[in-house]
Amino acid sequence: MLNPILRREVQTSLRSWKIFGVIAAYVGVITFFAVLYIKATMSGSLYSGFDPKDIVYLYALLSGLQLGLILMTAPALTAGSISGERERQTLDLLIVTRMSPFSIVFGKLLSSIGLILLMIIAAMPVYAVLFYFGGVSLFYLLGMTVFMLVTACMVGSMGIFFSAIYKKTMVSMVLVYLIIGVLVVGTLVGYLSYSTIYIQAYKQIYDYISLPALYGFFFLNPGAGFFSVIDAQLGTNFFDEITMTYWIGNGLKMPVEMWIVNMIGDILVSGLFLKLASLKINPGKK
Amino acid sequence: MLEVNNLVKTYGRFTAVNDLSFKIEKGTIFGFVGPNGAGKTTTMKIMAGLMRATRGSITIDGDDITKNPSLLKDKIGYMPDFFGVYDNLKVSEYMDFYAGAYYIPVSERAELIDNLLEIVNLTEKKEFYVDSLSRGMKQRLCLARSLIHDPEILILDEPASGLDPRARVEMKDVLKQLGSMGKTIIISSHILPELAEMCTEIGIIDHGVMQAQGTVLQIMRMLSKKRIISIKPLGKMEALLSLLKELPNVSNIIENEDNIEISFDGEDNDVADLLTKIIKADIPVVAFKEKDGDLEEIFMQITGGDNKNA
Repeated sequence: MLNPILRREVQTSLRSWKIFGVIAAYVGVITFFAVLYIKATMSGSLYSGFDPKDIVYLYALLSGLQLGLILMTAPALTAGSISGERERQTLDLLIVTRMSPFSIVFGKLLSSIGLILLMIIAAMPVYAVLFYFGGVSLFYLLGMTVFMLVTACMVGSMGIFFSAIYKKTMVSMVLVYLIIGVLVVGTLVGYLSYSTIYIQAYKQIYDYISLPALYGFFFLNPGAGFFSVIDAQLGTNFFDEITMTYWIGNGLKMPVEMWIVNMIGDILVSGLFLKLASLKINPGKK
Repeated sequence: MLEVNNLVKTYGRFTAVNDLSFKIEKGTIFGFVGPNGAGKTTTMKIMAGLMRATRGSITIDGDDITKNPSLLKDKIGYMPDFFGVYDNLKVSEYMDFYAGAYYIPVSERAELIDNLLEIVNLTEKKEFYVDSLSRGMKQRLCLARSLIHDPEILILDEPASGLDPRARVEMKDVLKQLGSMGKTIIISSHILPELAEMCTEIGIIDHGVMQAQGTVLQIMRMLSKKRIISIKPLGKMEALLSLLKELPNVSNIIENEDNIEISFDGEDNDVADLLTKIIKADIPVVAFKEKDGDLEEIFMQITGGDNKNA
């Protein structure tokens, strides 16, 4: 049986013009950058054309843009999920039903992820230009979509957790954005600082410390996971370049790809935050 | 039977419910009365599983529902004093959502929803948006929602609050109908005369302690030890008055236009004796009735600090 919360939220949100506005803005931003990229690529060409090989970078650009937009949208969709029910005075009515607290918070997450999936699907026509020139397979796109949805689950479950704790939606939203900032930028700065200090202090072989440091710093970094996916799909070295491991020796060989570690980390963290949120709203545990 | 045993709920040093115990038989419409902060809502929330008791137990037919949340959810329907509704949802969809939340099979829902909307007189509003309904209609819809899993016990926290007189009457009618269907209903309210009219039993709570419990008549008698009896003779008012003045257990005789009200100290057989004496005195009697008394007055007496009377 479909989770009743998912069903209701999809039903009610699709009746609102707000969601169509959000989707239109989302697709509009992605289209704008796609057009901008193609235009910029063409303007450098003597014959007003462009090298079809460059189209794979458009895939990377659009996917990165999508991930960024999802990281912005997921907290906004989830940070009011429980606090909104409290404000509306409908939370008690939900808790007294036969639904378990976990299925309530899981339903909330599913409905947010459902909307994000809808946004990704709505943006698919923009990706059609990639298929026209070739170079990117549909499986790449599906793989990237799965990665984005798992990342959205992690961010969304944080939003739900804070929403269960704090009465004000704005507080939850700000906290999730702060955590995203720490995960994306903070861990990168932390890793680079740590590596620099280590090299200066010990002047030793870099890659002995890099593996645990890489996994330790980046296992929840959506950016690291994203570039790892792109590298795996397109054969590029974005992740190695960003983490400065590319120019050390023969490059660092990671036993498990970062995107796999990243997705496992996301799933574990999602489960943890959902469980904590369900404990928070469970009156039996108060 | 619902049994609340030595229920305690504390918030830090504040005790909201203090060793509360009472029993409610199946099919009873129980009025839960008390001033603000008396512990009514806290008790009801614990019963509904929305709050954990510090101590004590609540059993339904011997099963402790505080230790068995799924049994609690099956047996109890709850309607809070304040509640909200979702935007962009029609009445039928609202009911369907909660039917889903109670895991009622899809195939059974349409008929169930129609039946419940009929009970609460909202059939014609089925395709209206919930947020377009009046407050009274929303209250009745919430009542229908609380019935969706066919609970044995209904807990209604101030269901008449904020309703206009007409909506109150409609709500009262629905509750009476549910009572006649054999549901055990626990209802809290500040509108005491309405409770007296509707409830088969009343419990008066103050400072988290049950001050009095029983039928309105029992509570009246427990407090005043006297019954108020209204007698309407067919003429012969003077004769009746002089007879009543002679009787030792009659006091406080009030002569109205066509009847006489007296305070009477005695048991049921003494009341029967009184009627016999009047008949033997050849005074024709049109009506002889014990009055329920003024619950508002009782309430004020019990909760106004004069607890020794309870």
